[in-house]
Amino acid sequence: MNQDCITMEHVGISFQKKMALDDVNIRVSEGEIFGFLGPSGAGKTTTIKLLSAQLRQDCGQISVMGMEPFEDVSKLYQNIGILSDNSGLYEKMSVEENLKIFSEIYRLPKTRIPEVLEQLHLTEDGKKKAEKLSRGMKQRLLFARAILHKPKLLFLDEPTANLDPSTSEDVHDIIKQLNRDGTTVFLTTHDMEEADELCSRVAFLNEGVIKEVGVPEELKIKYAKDRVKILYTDGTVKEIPKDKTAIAEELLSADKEVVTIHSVEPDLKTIFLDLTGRELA
Amino acid sequence: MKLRARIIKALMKKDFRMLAGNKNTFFILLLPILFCVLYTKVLPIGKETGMLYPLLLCEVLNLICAPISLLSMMVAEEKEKNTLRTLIMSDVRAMEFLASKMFVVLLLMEVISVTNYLLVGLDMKFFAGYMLISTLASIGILFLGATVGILSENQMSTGTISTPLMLLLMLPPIFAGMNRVLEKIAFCLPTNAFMEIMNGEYRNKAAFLSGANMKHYAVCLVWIVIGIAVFNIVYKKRGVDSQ
Repeated sequence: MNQDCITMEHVGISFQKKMALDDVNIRVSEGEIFGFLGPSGAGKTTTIKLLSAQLRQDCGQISVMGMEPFEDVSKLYQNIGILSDNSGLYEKMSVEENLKIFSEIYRLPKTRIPEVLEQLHLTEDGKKKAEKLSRGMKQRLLFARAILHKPKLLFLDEPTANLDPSTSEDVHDIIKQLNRDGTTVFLTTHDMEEADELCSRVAFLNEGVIKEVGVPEELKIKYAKDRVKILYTDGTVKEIPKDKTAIAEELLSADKEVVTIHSVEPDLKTIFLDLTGRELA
Repeated sequence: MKLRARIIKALMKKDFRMLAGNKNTFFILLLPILFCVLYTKVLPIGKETGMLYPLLLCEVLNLICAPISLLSMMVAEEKEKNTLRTLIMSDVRAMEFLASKMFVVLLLMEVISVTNYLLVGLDMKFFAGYMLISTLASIGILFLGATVGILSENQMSTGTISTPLMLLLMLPPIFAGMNRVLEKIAFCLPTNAFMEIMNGEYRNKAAFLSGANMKHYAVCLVWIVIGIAVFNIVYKKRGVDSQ
């Protein structure tokens, strides 16, 4: 069992008397990709701000890599990387110059910049000014900046928002690669397909309250409807109640071969809708 | 709060690069030099008043433009473009961020001061005193410029606070001779203190460190104390990044 990288216990915070997060409890283990899912305004970014010492909670306990975020901010920032829509670039400077600033701040070896540029497929564009980059390339540069110092924990706040599908796919590959290399990833998104593809566990957040936490596959089974889908060789699909007698009757009466019998599982989007009554947007 | 030299060095390099790529800030820096060229070459007003007068006018402009307008814009720009947040999240302390910008502006001011002095062609015997007093007068104003940057949400909004402050520091010393009220206001300003000390030495009325100038040094020191105090209050209340 991996150690906890993040724990939040009974955490709450309010802004102007409105609860932004209410009694939030989560544990993120080292080495996992944890998805924090919810619609805009659910409290995802607030959670990242609490975990990265940008905000203080009103109540509850937070631990990031074994310490309270404000306990040693310097140590925390040496070990975490953040990519959010609040991340900025020096537009008038080149890709390499942008990274050089942070390389000097972190006192990294000179070899690190070419290494990261290669990892993010930005080697060819190293001399290009940031303002000349496409949105997808800017996102890669922000990624490069966030992982430059090899953080143990990476916070990604909607990393593929406003990106085209091909660039999103590239970003997903980068996240998977980083995770394979041992980085723990805390990912917020409202894209359920993205969460399904990337996350080992997810939490559903709605109006500041955690509605459910679990492994995507287990959640799908947990919230599966009591029905099964039968796929026949001619391509027809029949959905019937998950009942031995009903299944037997259907199979006996059918005059064609069966390909698969599968329980009807909802996707994460449907589960979220069932739990909260809200669409993800 | 402990400031780390390595971080400030990295930030200063970045600030110089940013300045080099920004036409607006470059123009603010060049303004005192342009006026100096205008006063000494195009409209040689120094022929009648002596070369000190155009130098003082341009140096007062330098004392105001760089620390208030330029510094506040540099701070506000990084807030506006979210690069400040990115730096803070990369273990850069807010005071290191501000210190780097203040050092850069101070350094550039010194370069402009030297350039103006050489352009005017004043006797070199006044040079050391001129540099020392202009630096002393600039410190309090630098802290106020940083405070304006902290208070402003973006580059545009810096003008709302910086313009009145610049007028306050610039106009009374220039028009002090017009009436008693302006003279009294001017007496309390570091820009006026700089002009008075330089005038005294140039016209052989009072040496740089003579007793007659102590009140002007005191004014500069009071402004440094006020600058640091206001900066501290605003910084503690707002933080450098109020997002």
